[in-house]
Amino acid sequence: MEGFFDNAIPALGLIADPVNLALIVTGVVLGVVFGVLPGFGGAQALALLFPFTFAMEPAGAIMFMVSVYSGAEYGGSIPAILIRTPGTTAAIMTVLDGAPMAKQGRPRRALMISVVSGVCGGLISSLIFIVAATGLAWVGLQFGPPELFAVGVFGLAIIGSFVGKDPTKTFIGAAIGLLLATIGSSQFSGMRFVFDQPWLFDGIPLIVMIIAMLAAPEAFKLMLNRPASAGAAAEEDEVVQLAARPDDRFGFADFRKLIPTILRGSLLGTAVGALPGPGPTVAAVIAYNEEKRWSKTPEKFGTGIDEGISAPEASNNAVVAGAMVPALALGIPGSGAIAVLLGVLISKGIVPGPSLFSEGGPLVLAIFLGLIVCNIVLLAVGTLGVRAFVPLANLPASILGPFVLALLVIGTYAFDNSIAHVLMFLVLGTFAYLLERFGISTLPVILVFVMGLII
Amino acid sequence: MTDIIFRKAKADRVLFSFFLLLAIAAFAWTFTFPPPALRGYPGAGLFPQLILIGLALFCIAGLVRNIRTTRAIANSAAAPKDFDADIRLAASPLATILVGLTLFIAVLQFAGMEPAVFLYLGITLYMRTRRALLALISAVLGTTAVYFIFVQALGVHLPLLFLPRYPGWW
Repeated sequence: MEGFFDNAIPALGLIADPVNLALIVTGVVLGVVFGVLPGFGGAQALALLFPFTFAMEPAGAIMFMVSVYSGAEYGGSIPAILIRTPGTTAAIMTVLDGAPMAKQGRPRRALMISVVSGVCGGLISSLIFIVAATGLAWVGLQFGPPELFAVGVFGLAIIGSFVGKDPTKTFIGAAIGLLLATIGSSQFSGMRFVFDQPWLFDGIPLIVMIIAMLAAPEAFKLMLNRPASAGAAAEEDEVVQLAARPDDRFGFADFRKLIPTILRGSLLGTAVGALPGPGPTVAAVIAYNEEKRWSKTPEKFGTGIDEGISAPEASNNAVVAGAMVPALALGIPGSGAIAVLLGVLISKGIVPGPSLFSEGGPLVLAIFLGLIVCNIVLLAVGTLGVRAFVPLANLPASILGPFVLALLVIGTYAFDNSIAHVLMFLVLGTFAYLLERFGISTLPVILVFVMGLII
Repeated sequence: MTDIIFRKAKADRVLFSFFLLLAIAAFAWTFTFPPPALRGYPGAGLFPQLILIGLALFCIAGLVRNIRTTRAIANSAAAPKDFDADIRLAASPLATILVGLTLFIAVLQFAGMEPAVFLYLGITLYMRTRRALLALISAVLGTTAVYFIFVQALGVHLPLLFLPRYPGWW
C-alpha cells in the first residue's frame, strides 16, 4: 500500500498532463468511430493506430490505445442497437434486447443504458485492478487448457437460454455452429472441411461469421421490406418504424434498478478479462446468460428489457481493464487487441512482466487511472453522441437497406483485405437468412461458434 | 413478386431430412481426415464426428416428432399451434438481392470500389424509391464516404479504379 501512495501523486500528474488528456479524448472518439463500423473491432482499430503512437510518450501512448479500445467496445453497441448490426464481435448480445428496444421506439434509452453500463463496467474493473491486480494475475495464470475447456462448456450452456418454441431446431442450430467452428486447421493435425481451398485453412473468421449470421439476415429483411409505393404486400416481419415513446428516457431511478445487473456484469467481465483467451465476446455471452438466470422474469429477455443490454455492455467494457492484468503482470496477451497494446509498451522499451509492478514506477497506476478518466470521457461522448446516432433508427428501410448491405460487404472486405471473406459472408448470410425463415434462429449458431473456438 | 409458400409441417420434414443427409455425408467424409499424429490421441475427425452424431440425432428426433404429430392430426387430434402454418419465402426478390450482391462483389474485385459502390447504391436506391436525384446524390455521397473512411482514413486496400490511393493533398 505504501508503494501505491508513493506512485499515486506522479501517476495523477501523468493523467493531468493536458497532452495525455487530449490523447484520451481523441482515443475515445476514434474508438467509438471504429467500433461503429462493422468489421472493425478493438484489435483492428489498435493495429491501425499503432504507428501514431511512435511519436507519443509511453504513458500517453498506452492511455491513447486503451481509450481507443474502450471506445471501440462501446461503439460496437451503437449499430447493434440501431440497425441490429454489431459493430464489434462483443456487441452480439447487445443486439438481443437493444434492437427490439430501438424498434419499439426507445433507441435513446437503449443507447443510454449501453453507455452508462459500459462506463460503470470500465470503472469497476479499473478499481478492482488497482486493488487486486497481482492476485488476479496469479489466478489467471492457473487457467490452462482444461480450465479453458470448462469455461467453453460452461458458455455452451447458454443455448439452454435460447430454447424457443422448438428445442430441436435450437439444438440443430447449435450443432451447425459447432460444426462451422471445426472448419480449417485442426489442433490434432490436418485440415477439416476445407475443400482444398487455402482461404479456408484458417477457418471462418469470427467477425465474418457474426456479420453473416446476425447482420446479413437483418439486412436482407430491410431489402425485402417492399416500399409501400410498390403496392405489394409487405413481408410479415417488416421492420416497423415507430415514433419515440414517452419512456424513451433513462433516468437515475432506472439506473438504480440496474445497479445489481451492472455489478454482476462488471465482476464477470473483469474475471473473464483476466483469463488469457476468452475476451469480451465470451464475457458478454456469459454475462447475458447469467443475468437471465438471475432474473425473476427470464421470459422477457430478448424482448427489449434494460437488463439484457446492461449486463453484456458492463461485462464487455470491464474486460478491457481485466485483460490488462495478465498482460501487464505476466506479459500474456489474452486477445489480439491486448497483443497490440503489449506491442506499444515494448516499442517504448517497457517490458511487461511481474517486475513492471515493482519497478515500473507510476506508469502502471497511471494506466489504470487513465482508464478511469477514459471511462468518464466515454460517458460524456456517449451521452452527447446519442442525439447524433438516434436519427439512424428512424431512416426508412428503403434507404437504409442498400447502405447497410454495402457497408457489410465493404466492412467484411476491410477485415482482412480479402474478397474470399466477402464471398463467405454472401454464402453464410444467405444460409443464415434461410435458416431464420425455416424457424432455426441464428443466435445459437453464432453463440456456439464463439464457444467452439475456445473448445 | 413470387412468393414460395411452404406448409410448415412439410417444410420441417424437408429441413430435418436435409440436415440428416448432410450429417451422414459429412460423417462419411470425416474418415478421410488425417489420423492422429501420435498413437492414442484423437484425430482431426473426432470432434466433427461427435457433433455430426448429435446433429443426426436431433434431426431424427425432429422427424419422428413431426411424423407422429401429422399422424395424430390425421386421426382427428388437435393440431399444435403453428404446426401447419405457412412459411413464405420471397424467392424472386431474394434472388434479385443475391444477384445484385454478387455483381457488386464482382465489380468491386475486377473494376474497383468506386463503380461498385456507386452503381450498387444508385441502382438499388432508384429501384426502391423511384427518385433518380435522391439515388444519384446518395450514391455519390456513399462512394465518397467509403473512399475517405475506409481507403484514406483506415488504409483499407480496397481495389480502386480511378481515385488515388495516396492523394497529393494528404
